[in-house]
Amino acid sequence: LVGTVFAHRRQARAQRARRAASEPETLAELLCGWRFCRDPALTSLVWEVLRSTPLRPSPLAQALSFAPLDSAPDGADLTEVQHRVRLAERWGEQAPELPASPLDARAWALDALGWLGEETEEVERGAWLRADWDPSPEDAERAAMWRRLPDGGFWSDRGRWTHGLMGDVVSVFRQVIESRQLPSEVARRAIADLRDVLPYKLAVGGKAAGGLVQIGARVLETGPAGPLVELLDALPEGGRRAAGHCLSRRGHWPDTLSQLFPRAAPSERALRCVDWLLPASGESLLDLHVVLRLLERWGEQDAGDPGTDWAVVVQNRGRSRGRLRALLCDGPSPGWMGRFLSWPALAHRTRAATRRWAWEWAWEELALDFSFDAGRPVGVPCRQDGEGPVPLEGEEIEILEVWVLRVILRGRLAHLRRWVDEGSTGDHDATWGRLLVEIPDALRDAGSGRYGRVRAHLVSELSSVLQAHRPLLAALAALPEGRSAMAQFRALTEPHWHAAVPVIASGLPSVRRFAAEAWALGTDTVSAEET
Amino acid sequence: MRVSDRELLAYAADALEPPRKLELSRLIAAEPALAWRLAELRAQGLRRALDAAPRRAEGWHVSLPSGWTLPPPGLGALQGGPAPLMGAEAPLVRLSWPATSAEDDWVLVLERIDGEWQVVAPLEAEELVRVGQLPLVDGQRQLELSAGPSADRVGAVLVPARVQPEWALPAPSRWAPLMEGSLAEGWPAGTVTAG
Repeated sequence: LVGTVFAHRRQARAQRARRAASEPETLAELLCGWRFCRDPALTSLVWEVLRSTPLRPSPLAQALSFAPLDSAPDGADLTEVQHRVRLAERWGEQAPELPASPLDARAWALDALGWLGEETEEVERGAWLRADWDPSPEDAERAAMWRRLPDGGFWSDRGRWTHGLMGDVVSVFRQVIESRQLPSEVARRAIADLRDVLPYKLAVGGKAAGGLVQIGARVLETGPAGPLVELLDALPEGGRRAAGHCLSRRGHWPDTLSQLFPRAAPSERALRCVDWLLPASGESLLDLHVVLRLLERWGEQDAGDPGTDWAVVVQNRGRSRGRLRALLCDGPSPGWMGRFLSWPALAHRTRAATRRWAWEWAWEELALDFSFDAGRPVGVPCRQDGEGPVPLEGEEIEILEVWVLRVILRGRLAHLRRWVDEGSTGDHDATWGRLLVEIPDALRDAGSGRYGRVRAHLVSELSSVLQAHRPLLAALAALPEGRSAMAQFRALTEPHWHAAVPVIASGLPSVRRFAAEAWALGTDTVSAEET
Repeated sequence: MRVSDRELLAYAADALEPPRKLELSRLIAAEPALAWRLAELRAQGLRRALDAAPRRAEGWHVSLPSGWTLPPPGLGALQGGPAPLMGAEAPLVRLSWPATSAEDDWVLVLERIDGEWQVVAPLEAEELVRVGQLPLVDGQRQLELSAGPSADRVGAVLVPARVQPEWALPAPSRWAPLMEGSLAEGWPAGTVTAG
């Protein structure tokens, strides 16, 4: 990004930011670098948070966004953040004074979010996709070695792996050792010990996966979809649940999830978060988290140091990716390695991944006086209590669908909708209370006995459950009056009923009426009508 | 922009993820002072690597085919002299030469002990230092060395990138082709008096 392009972009973005500060419908264009902008609901959420955040950009921050440039643009080919940091260094305390009304502050925040989003797209995502990987004659052999690895092939390939990776690992360790100016005898001992331990480090890693699995995860990150998407795509269902559980409890993620699912209980947020941890939506979720984190910071202190803001982006993305890598490596089988066997330049990708892994390992060993415990994993493993709440599955879903039918036939569909959407019915209806406690224990959250799993399922599935019940509701609405009605009711419902849900043995006139009302709502309006 | 030594070292070790590598490469290209710091870090690393190399005085030596000759001080393509000490434990000498040699060529460092030239570095494949990794000062590549206690001269040869030591061979056989190449093709070399 040469200086003239930077200046042009900066000016155009500043104009869009000023417009968007009072015309939020133009927000998506300004924030197009953030993936969540493809979802109007998320863009709207960001707007609402932005509006309610007391922003205090420093005069320098305002100037960096809106002041005219006072000299010819920098001719160097730099990234956006580098241009801005240079500009900030040049202006220092002499930054031009600009108006600082709340609207100006909002325009500044929008401008900052605009360039940070574009930088995320160009550097954080783009650099991975534009990286040059050089093909070599070793590619086929390296692919064959990776192919054999998940089947316990390390020991038969031990010599090849060790020989193939030793040079890069030792080279990286030497850089770290030499940077600390360690005595030569310490350096010699460390390198000699490293040579001995490397094969074991590659093969095992204590409770976590072996070094080669960790290197493999870093190879996976070089894939054509970008590191985050590749990791999410490779993560098994249990891993995604564990990731959701992890995110719902760590760092600032609980704040993000509470803003994304404001009416959900914490355990339910973890489950609903899992639905976002997919290749198609993972980048959106992470971008949203980063933006909410930035806004939170800007509301707490003087905002607007471009280097600090960019560090928030980089650190949050790096931490999230590190957790996903750890979960992937700790998974039951590294079968995901099959994904990269056909990628070009696999030898180069493997060497680059090895050097990144070795860099992390070398600094860990330096802190531990090069004690070289082969069983100690490189990086922070994702330690948590199991995989968190498990979504409903199999027979549990069948039971819940029958319970929903019972709720409808007891005339509490509106209560159910409010409970699912808002977490509460807003009244103290005794019938609803009795229905709620009829939910079998097996469907409730382990330990707490709460309904997080049930609500998490119904948030996404209630409409389809109601749709599935429509033929039965139509038949029940047409039940005749008289003595044969109960027999017909049983004939219609028994094939669908489940023993875990109490049967309806009386009150057929009401059942008939409630079935007719629910059916009359229609499929499209069933979800919206009563909320 | 502030860049830590650790980031620069990671860059030098090619251990950065692509986004950080992209950022740093642009900054290094734009800021000569940063490029100089990187070169200095690499040079320091090389000096320490050489200092850390095992010495004959400690009961170690590399056997070489006898007859390896290097130009006397002042006559080779690499010109030498004492270097500023900068806190080093042992006296340093410096060899420098015009930066016209290929950057992929690598540096073979030797010491003369009891009249015989001994290889000091690289002793292993990963110790191999490319010309392009050395600091560039006023159009000159610079290599700073400290001599072992028994050496009376130190020297260096710029070996073409196409020539690689056969690491699996024992030392005499490993270095013999290089000695022949050096003699036959006249690779740039130079020596300086130790201490």
